[in-house]
Amino acid sequence: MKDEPLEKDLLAAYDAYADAIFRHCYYKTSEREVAQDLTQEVFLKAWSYMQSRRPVENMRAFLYRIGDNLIIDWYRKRKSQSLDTLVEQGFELTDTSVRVEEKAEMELALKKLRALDPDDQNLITWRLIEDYTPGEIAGILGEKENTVSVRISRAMKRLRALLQNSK
Amino acid sequence: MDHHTQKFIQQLRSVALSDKERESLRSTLIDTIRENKVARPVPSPWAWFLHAQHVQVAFLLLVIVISYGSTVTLSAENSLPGETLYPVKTFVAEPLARLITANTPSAQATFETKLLNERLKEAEALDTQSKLGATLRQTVREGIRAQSIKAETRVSDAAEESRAAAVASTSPSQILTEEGPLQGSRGGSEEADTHTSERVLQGVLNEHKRILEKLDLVNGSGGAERKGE
Repeated sequence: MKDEPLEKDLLAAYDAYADAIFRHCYYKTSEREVAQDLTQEVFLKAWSYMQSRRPVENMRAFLYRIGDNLIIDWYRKRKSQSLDTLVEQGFELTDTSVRVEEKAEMELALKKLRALDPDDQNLITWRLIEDYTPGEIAGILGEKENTVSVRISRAMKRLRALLQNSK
Repeated sequence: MDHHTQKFIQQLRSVALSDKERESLRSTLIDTIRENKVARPVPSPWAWFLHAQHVQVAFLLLVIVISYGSTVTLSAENSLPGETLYPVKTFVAEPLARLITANTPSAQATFETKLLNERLKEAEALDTQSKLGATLRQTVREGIRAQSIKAETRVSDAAEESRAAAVASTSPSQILTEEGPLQGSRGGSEEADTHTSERVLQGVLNEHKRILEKLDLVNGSGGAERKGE
Protein backbone atom coordinates (compact mmCIF):
# COMPACT_ATOMS: atom_id res chain seq x y z
CA MET A 1 0.00 0.00 0.00
CA LYS A 2 1.38 3.37 -1.03
CA ASP A 3 0.20 5.06 2.21
CA GLU A 4 2.15 2.74 4.51
CA PRO A 5 5.30 4.88 4.72
CA LEU A 6 3.14 7.94 5.39
CA GLU A 7 1.23 6.13 8.08
CA LYS A 8 4.50 5.08 9.68
CA ASP A 9 5.81 8.64 9.61
CA LEU A 10 2.65 9.98 11.18
CA LEU A 11 2.62 7.41 13.96
CA ALA A 12 6.29 8.06 14.64
CA ALA A 13 5.46 11.74 14.95
CA TYR A 14 2.59 10.89 17.24
CA ASP A 15 4.82 8.82 19.51
CA ALA A 16 7.40 11.61 19.62
CA TYR A 17 5.18 14.65 20.03
CA ALA A 18 1.75 13.65 21.30
CA ASP A 19 2.51 14.57 24.91
CA ALA A 20 4.07 17.89 23.98
CA ILE A 21 1.14 18.81 21.74
CA PHE A 22 -1.28 17.75 24.42
CA ARG A 23 0.46 19.92 27.00
CA HIS A 24 0.52 22.83 24.59
CA CYS A 25 -3.24 22.50 24.03
CA TYR A 26 -3.88 21.98 27.73
CA TYR A 27 -1.93 25.08 28.79
CA LYS A 28 -4.01 27.13 26.40
CA THR A 29 -7.41 25.66 27.15
CA SER A 30 -7.13 24.21 30.70
CA GLU A 31 -9.58 21.52 29.68
CA ARG A 32 -8.22 18.01 29.50
CA GLU A 33 -10.87 16.61 27.20
CA VAL A 34 -10.63 19.57 24.92
CA ALA A 35 -6.85 19.20 24.88
CA GLN A 36 -7.22 15.53 23.97
CA ASP A 37 -9.65 16.30 21.17
CA LEU A 38 -7.40 19.03 19.86
CA THR A 39 -4.38 16.74 20.02
CA GLN A 40 -6.16 14.13 17.97
CA GLU A 41 -7.34 16.77 15.52
CA VAL A 42 -3.77 18.02 15.13
CA PHE A 43 -2.56 14.63 13.99
CA LEU A 44 -5.55 14.03 11.74
CA LYS A 45 -4.97 17.35 10.01
CA ALA A 46 -1.31 16.46 9.68
CA TRP A 47 -2.35 13.18 8.08
CA SER A 48 -4.62 14.95 5.64
CA TYR A 49 -1.76 17.22 4.61
CA MET A 50 0.69 14.35 4.30
CA GLN A 51 -1.70 12.46 2.03
CA SER A 52 -1.41 15.25 -0.50
CA ARG A 53 2.29 14.25 -0.81
CA ARG A 54 3.42 17.74 0.06
CA PRO A 55 6.71 17.63 1.98
CA VAL A 56 6.86 18.46 5.68
CA GLU A 57 10.29 19.80 6.49
CA ASN A 58 9.92 20.24 10.21
CA MET A 59 7.27 17.96 11.68
CA ARG A 60 7.44 19.45 15.15
CA ALA A 61 6.96 23.02 13.94
CA PHE A 62 4.24 21.82 11.61
CA LEU A 63 2.29 20.15 14.42
CA TYR A 64 2.56 23.20 16.68
CA ARG A 65 1.29 25.41 13.88
CA ILE A 66 -1.72 23.20 13.38
CA GLY A 67 -2.26 23.14 17.13
CA ASP A 68 -2.17 26.93 17.42
CA ASN A 69 -4.67 27.28 14.61
CA LEU A 70 -7.03 24.80 16.22
CA ILE A 71 -6.71 26.56 19.56
CA ILE A 72 -7.57 29.87 17.93
CA ASP A 73 -10.62 28.25 16.35
CA TRP A 74 -11.61 26.83 19.68
CA TYR A 75 -11.35 30.24 21.35
CA ARG A 76 -13.39 31.82 18.62
CA LYS A 77 -16.15 29.35 19.32
CA ARG A 78 -16.02 30.37 22.92
CA LYS A 79 -15.77 34.10 22.16
CA SER A 80 -18.37 35.00 24.68
CA GLN A 81 -16.04 33.99 27.45
CA SER A 82 -12.27 34.25 27.64
CA LEU A 83 -10.40 31.64 29.61
CA ASP A 84 -8.89 34.19 31.94
CA THR A 85 -12.36 35.41 32.79
CA LEU A 86 -13.44 31.87 33.49
CA VAL A 87 -10.44 31.28 35.74
CA GLU A 88 -11.07 34.52 37.64
CA GLN A 89 -14.68 33.56 38.17
CA GLY A 90 -13.53 30.34 39.75
CA PHE A 91 -13.74 28.10 36.72
CA GLU A 92 -12.19 24.82 37.67
CA LEU A 93 -9.94 22.60 35.67
CA THR A 94 -11.85 19.65 34.33
CA ASP A 95 -9.15 17.29 35.29
CA THR A 96 -10.35 14.48 37.43
CA SER A 97 -7.12 12.56 37.15
CA VAL A 98 -5.36 14.58 39.84
CA ARG A 99 -5.96 15.09 43.52
CA VAL A 100 -7.50 18.26 44.82
CA GLU A 101 -4.25 19.69 46.16
CA GLU A 102 -2.42 19.02 42.96
CA LYS A 103 -5.30 20.52 41.09
CA ALA A 104 -5.00 23.74 43.05
CA GLU A 105 -1.28 23.88 42.44
CA MET A 106 -1.81 23.23 38.77
CA GLU A 107 -4.33 26.03 38.52
CA LEU A 108 -1.89 28.35 40.15
CA ALA A 109 0.94 27.31 37.87
CA LEU A 110 -1.25 27.79 34.82
CA LYS A 111 -2.35 31.16 36.08
CA LYS A 112 1.26 32.20 36.44
CA LEU A 113 2.09 30.88 33.00
CA ARG A 114 -0.74 32.86 31.48
CA ALA A 115 0.37 35.97 33.23
CA LEU A 116 3.30 35.94 30.85
CA ASP A 117 3.18 37.29 27.35
CA PRO A 118 1.91 34.57 24.94
CA ASP A 119 5.29 34.46 23.20
CA ASP A 120 7.04 34.06 26.53
CA GLN A 121 4.60 31.32 27.44
CA ASN A 122 5.62 29.33 24.40
CA LEU A 123 9.33 29.94 24.93
CA ILE A 124 9.17 28.93 28.59
CA THR A 125 7.07 25.89 27.84
CA TRP A 126 9.31 24.68 25.05
CA ARG A 127 12.56 25.39 26.85
CA LEU A 128 11.72 24.38 30.39
CA ILE A 129 8.90 21.87 30.04
CA GLU A 130 9.65 20.19 26.74
CA ASP A 131 13.44 20.59 26.97
CA TYR A 132 13.78 21.79 23.41
CA THR A 133 17.11 23.33 22.56
CA PRO A 134 17.23 26.93 21.33
CA GLY A 135 17.98 25.50 17.90
CA GLU A 136 14.86 23.34 17.95
CA ILE A 137 12.74 26.25 19.15
CA ALA A 138 14.24 28.38 16.37
CA GLY A 139 13.07 25.67 13.95
CA ILE A 140 9.52 25.89 15.29
CA LEU A 141 9.44 29.67 15.13
CA GLY A 142 11.36 30.00 11.92
CA GLU A 143 13.84 32.36 13.55
CA LYS A 144 17.58 32.47 14.08
CA GLU A 145 18.95 30.49 17.00
CA ASN A 146 20.75 33.49 18.49
CA THR A 147 17.59 35.54 18.45
CA VAL A 148 15.69 32.75 20.14
CA SER A 149 18.39 32.34 22.80
CA VAL A 150 18.16 36.00 23.67
CA ARG A 151 14.38 35.87 23.82
CA ILE A 152 14.47 32.76 26.04
CA SER A 153 16.86 34.48 28.40
CA ARG A 154 14.57 37.51 28.68
CA ALA A 155 11.49 35.31 29.14
CA MET A 156 13.24 33.44 31.96
CA LYS A 157 14.01 36.74 33.69
CA ARG A 158 10.39 37.80 33.47
CA LEU A 159 9.24 34.41 34.78
CA ARG A 160 11.61 34.60 37.75
CA ALA A 161 10.35 38.08 38.56
CA LEU A 162 6.77 36.90 38.29
CA LEU A 163 7.33 33.91 40.52
CA GLN A 164 9.21 36.04 43.04
CA ASN A 165 6.37 38.56 43.16
CA SER A 166 3.68 35.93 43.53
CA LYS A 167 5.31 34.24 46.57
CA MET B 1 17.46 27.41 39.12
CA ASP B 2 15.61 28.54 42.20
CA HIS B 3 13.05 26.47 44.06
CA HIS B 4 10.02 28.38 42.85
CA THR B 5 10.95 27.98 39.25
CA GLN B 6 11.69 24.31 39.75
CA LYS B 7 8.34 23.75 41.38
CA PHE B 8 6.65 25.70 38.63
CA ILE B 9 8.28 23.55 36.00
CA GLN B 10 7.49 20.37 37.86
CA GLN B 11 3.81 21.23 38.09
CA LEU B 12 3.53 22.04 34.46
CA ARG B 13 5.44 18.94 33.44
CA SER B 14 3.01 16.79 35.32
CA VAL B 15 0.53 17.51 32.59
CA ALA B 16 0.68 14.53 30.28
CA LEU B 17 -1.44 11.96 28.58
CA SER B 18 -1.86 8.85 30.66
CA ASP B 19 -0.78 5.59 29.00
CA LYS B 20 -4.40 4.69 28.49
CA GLU B 21 -5.24 8.05 26.96
CA ARG B 22 -2.20 7.92 24.71
CA GLU B 23 -3.03 4.44 23.48
CA SER B 24 -6.69 5.32 22.99
CA LEU B 25 -5.81 8.37 20.91
CA ARG B 26 -3.34 6.33 18.88
CA SER B 27 -5.92 3.65 18.12
CA THR B 28 -8.48 6.23 17.11
CA LEU B 29 -5.90 7.84 14.87
CA ILE B 30 -5.06 4.51 13.19
CA ASP B 31 -8.73 3.63 12.73
CA THR B 32 -9.46 7.01 11.21
CA ILE B 33 -6.49 6.76 8.88
CA ARG B 34 -7.55 3.32 7.67
CA GLU B 35 -11.22 4.22 7.41
CA ASN B 36 -10.42 7.39 5.65
CA LYS B 37 -9.90 5.74 2.31
CA VAL B 38 -11.09 8.76 0.45
CA ALA B 39 -10.28 8.41 -3.22
CA ARG B 40 -7.50 10.84 -3.73
CA PRO B 41 -7.72 12.46 -7.07
CA VAL B 42 -4.95 11.18 -9.27
CA PRO B 43 -3.00 14.18 -10.39
CA SER B 44 -3.77 14.66 -14.00
CA PRO B 45 -0.80 14.48 -16.32
CA TRP B 46 -2.07 17.81 -17.52
CA ALA B 47 -2.15 19.27 -13.99
CA TRP B 48 0.88 21.40 -14.76
CA PHE B 49 -1.06 22.91 -17.66
CA LEU B 50 -4.26 23.38 -15.74
CA HIS B 51 -2.53 25.28 -12.95
CA ALA B 52 0.01 27.24 -14.91
CA GLN B 53 -1.82 30.35 -15.89
CA HIS B 54 0.90 31.70 -18.11
CA VAL B 55 0.97 28.41 -20.02
CA GLN B 56 -2.79 28.59 -20.48
CA VAL B 57 -2.59 32.12 -21.84
CA ALA B 58 0.23 31.21 -24.21
CA PHE B 59 -1.67 28.16 -25.42
CA LEU B 60 -4.82 30.18 -26.00
CA LEU B 61 -2.91 32.75 -28.00
CA LEU B 62 -1.34 29.97 -30.07
CA VAL B 63 -4.77 28.48 -30.80
CA ILE B 64 -6.07 31.88 -31.85
CA VAL B 65 -3.08 32.52 -34.10
CA ILE B 66 -3.26 29.08 -35.70
CA SER B 67 -7.03 29.31 -36.16
CA TYR B 68 -6.76 32.73 -37.71
CA GLY B 69 -3.87 31.62 -39.86
CA SER B 70 -5.70 28.47 -40.97
CA THR B 71 -8.84 30.45 -41.79
CA VAL B 72 -6.89 32.95 -43.85
CA THR B 73 -4.94 30.22 -45.64
CA LEU B 74 -8.08 28.29 -46.51
CA SER B 75 -9.70 31.45 -47.82
CA ALA B 76 -6.62 32.19 -49.89
CA GLU B 77 -6.66 28.78 -51.58
CA ASN B 78 -9.04 29.89 -54.32
CA SER B 79 -7.75 33.41 -54.67
CA LEU B 80 -6.57 34.76 -58.02
CA PRO B 81 -3.77 37.12 -58.98
CA GLY B 82 -4.67 40.68 -58.04
CA GLU B 83 -6.86 39.61 -55.08
CA THR B 84 -5.99 40.50 -51.47
CA LEU B 85 -5.29 37.00 -50.25
CA TYR B 86 -3.28 35.88 -53.31
CA PRO B 87 0.05 36.71 -51.65
CA VAL B 88 -0.94 34.44 -48.75
CA LYS B 89 -1.41 31.63 -51.26
CA THR B 90 1.86 32.14 -53.10
CA PHE B 91 4.12 33.30 -50.28
CA VAL B 92 2.77 31.28 -47.35
CA ALA B 93 0.63 28.28 -48.29
CA GLU B 94 2.56 27.08 -51.33
CA PRO B 95 6.06 27.42 -49.83
CA LEU B 96 4.81 25.56 -46.76
CA ALA B 97 3.34 22.80 -48.89
CA ARG B 98 6.61 22.61 -50.83
CA LEU B 99 8.53 22.21 -47.60
CA ILE B 100 6.29 19.47 -46.31
CA THR B 101 5.59 17.39 -49.39
CA ALA B 102 8.38 17.81 -51.88
CA ASN B 103 11.24 15.89 -50.32
CA THR B 104 12.46 13.72 -53.23
CA PRO B 105 13.37 14.77 -56.78
CA SER B 106 10.33 12.92 -58.12
CA ALA B 107 8.02 14.52 -55.54
CA GLN B 108 9.50 17.93 -56.26
CA ALA B 109 8.91 17.48 -59.98
CA THR B 110 5.30 16.48 -59.31
CA PHE B 111 4.77 19.43 -56.96
CA GLU B 112 6.19 22.08 -59.28
CA THR B 113 4.19 20.67 -62.19
CA LYS B 114 1.03 20.91 -60.08
CA LEU B 115 1.83 24.53 -59.26
CA LEU B 116 2.33 25.28 -62.94
CA ASN B 117 -1.07 23.75 -63.59
CA GLU B 118 -2.46 26.01 -60.85
CA ARG B 119 -0.92 29.13 -62.40
CA LEU B 120 -2.40 28.27 -65.77
CA LYS B 121 -5.83 27.64 -64.27
CA GLU B 122 -5.68 31.02 -62.51
CA ALA B 123 -4.87 32.68 -65.81
CA GLU B 124 -7.82 30.94 -67.47
CA ALA B 125 -10.14 31.99 -64.64
CA LEU B 126 -9.07 35.62 -64.98
CA ASP B 127 -9.50 35.43 -68.73
CA THR B 128 -13.01 34.02 -68.31
CA GLN B 129 -13.85 36.91 -65.98
CA SER B 130 -12.26 39.36 -68.45
CA LYS B 131 -9.89 40.54 -65.75
CA LEU B 132 -6.66 40.10 -67.66
CA GLY B 133 -5.83 43.76 -68.03
CA ALA B 134 -2.42 44.87 -69.15
CA THR B 135 -0.78 45.00 -65.72
CA LEU B 136 -2.29 41.80 -64.44
CA ARG B 137 -1.57 40.05 -67.71
CA GLN B 138 2.12 40.87 -67.34
CA THR B 139 2.14 39.66 -63.73
CA VAL B 140 0.42 36.43 -64.72
CA ARG B 141 2.82 35.85 -67.66
CA GLU B 142 5.83 36.26 -65.44
CA GLY B 143 4.34 33.96 -62.81
CA ILE B 144 3.67 31.21 -65.34
CA ARG B 145 7.09 31.59 -66.92
CA ALA B 146 8.87 31.37 -63.57
CA GLN B 147 6.84 28.36 -62.51
CA SER B 148 7.39 26.66 -65.85
CA ILE B 149 11.15 26.97 -65.46
CA LYS B 150 10.94 25.57 -61.94
CA ALA B 151 8.87 22.62 -63.12
CA GLU B 152 11.25 21.84 -65.98
CA THR B 153 14.27 22.07 -63.70
CA ARG B 154 12.72 19.67 -61.20
CA VAL B 155 11.72 17.21 -63.90
CA SER B 156 15.25 17.36 -65.27
CA ASP B 157 16.71 16.80 -61.79
CA ALA B 158 14.41 13.86 -61.28
CA ALA B 159 15.60 12.37 -64.57
CA GLU B 160 19.26 12.76 -63.55
CA GLU B 161 18.53 11.20 -60.21
CA SER B 162 16.78 8.21 -61.74
CA ARG B 163 19.59 7.63 -64.24
CA ALA B 164 22.14 7.64 -61.44
CA ALA B 165 20.03 5.20 -59.47
CA ALA B 166 19.74 2.93 -62.48
CA VAL B 167 23.52 2.87 -62.95
CA ALA B 168 24.09 2.19 -59.28
CA SER B 169 21.75 -0.78 -59.36
CA THR B 170 23.30 -2.30 -62.51
CA SER B 171 26.10 -4.84 -62.42
CA PRO B 172 29.44 -3.93 -64.04
CA SER B 173 28.97 -6.50 -66.78
CA GLN B 174 25.56 -5.09 -67.67
CA ILE B 175 26.95 -1.56 -67.88
CA LEU B 176 29.30 -2.70 -70.62
CA THR B 177 26.62 -4.48 -72.60
CA GLU B 178 23.93 -3.17 -74.83
CA GLU B 179 21.37 -3.77 -72.15
CA GLY B 180 23.00 -1.34 -69.73
CA PRO B 181 21.19 1.84 -68.79
CA LEU B 182 23.74 4.02 -70.59
CA GLN B 183 23.02 2.28 -73.81
CA GLY B 184 19.33 2.78 -73.92
CA SER B 185 16.08 2.71 -72.16
CA ARG B 186 16.16 -0.29 -69.96
CA GLY B 187 12.97 0.46 -68.06
CA GLY B 188 12.82 0.18 -64.34
CA SER B 189 10.76 2.20 -61.97
CA GLU B 190 13.02 5.25 -61.77
CA GLU B 191 13.11 5.71 -65.53
CA ALA B 192 9.38 5.10 -65.74
CA ASP B 193 8.90 7.78 -63.08
CA THR B 194 11.02 10.24 -65.00
CA HIS B 195 9.13 9.64 -68.14
CA THR B 196 5.95 9.98 -66.16
CA SER B 197 7.02 13.36 -64.79
CA GLU B 198 7.87 14.56 -68.26
CA ARG B 199 4.63 13.20 -69.66
CA VAL B 200 2.64 14.90 -66.92
CA LEU B 201 4.38 18.20 -67.51
CA GLN B 202 3.75 17.99 -71.22
CA GLY B 203 0.16 17.06 -70.54
CA VAL B 204 -0.29 20.20 -68.43
CA LEU B 205 1.13 22.37 -71.14
CA ASN B 206 -1.04 20.76 -73.78
CA GLU B 207 -4.16 21.14 -71.64
CA HIS B 208 -3.61 24.84 -71.23
CA LYS B 209 -2.35 25.56 -74.72
CA ARG B 210 -5.06 28.12 -75.40
CA ILE B 211 -4.13 30.40 -72.48
CA LEU B 212 -0.45 29.91 -73.18
CA GLU B 213 -0.99 31.15 -76.71
CA LYS B 214 -3.09 34.04 -75.48
CA LEU B 215 -0.30 35.07 -73.12
CA ASP B 216 2.35 34.58 -75.79
CA LEU B 217 4.09 31.89 -73.86
CA VAL B 218 4.64 29.42 -76.65
CA ASN B 219 7.26 28.92 -79.33
CA GLY B 220 10.29 30.45 -77.57
CA SER B 221 8.45 33.32 -75.98
CA GLY B 222 8.98 31.90 -72.52
CA GLY B 223 9.82 28.78 -70.62
CA ALA B 224 6.39 27.32 -70.90
CA GLU B 225 6.69 24.98 -73.81
CA ARG B 226 9.16 22.16 -73.53
CA LYS B 227 12.02 22.20 -75.96
CA GLY B 228 13.58 19.31 -77.77
CA GLU B 229 10.52 17.09 -77.69
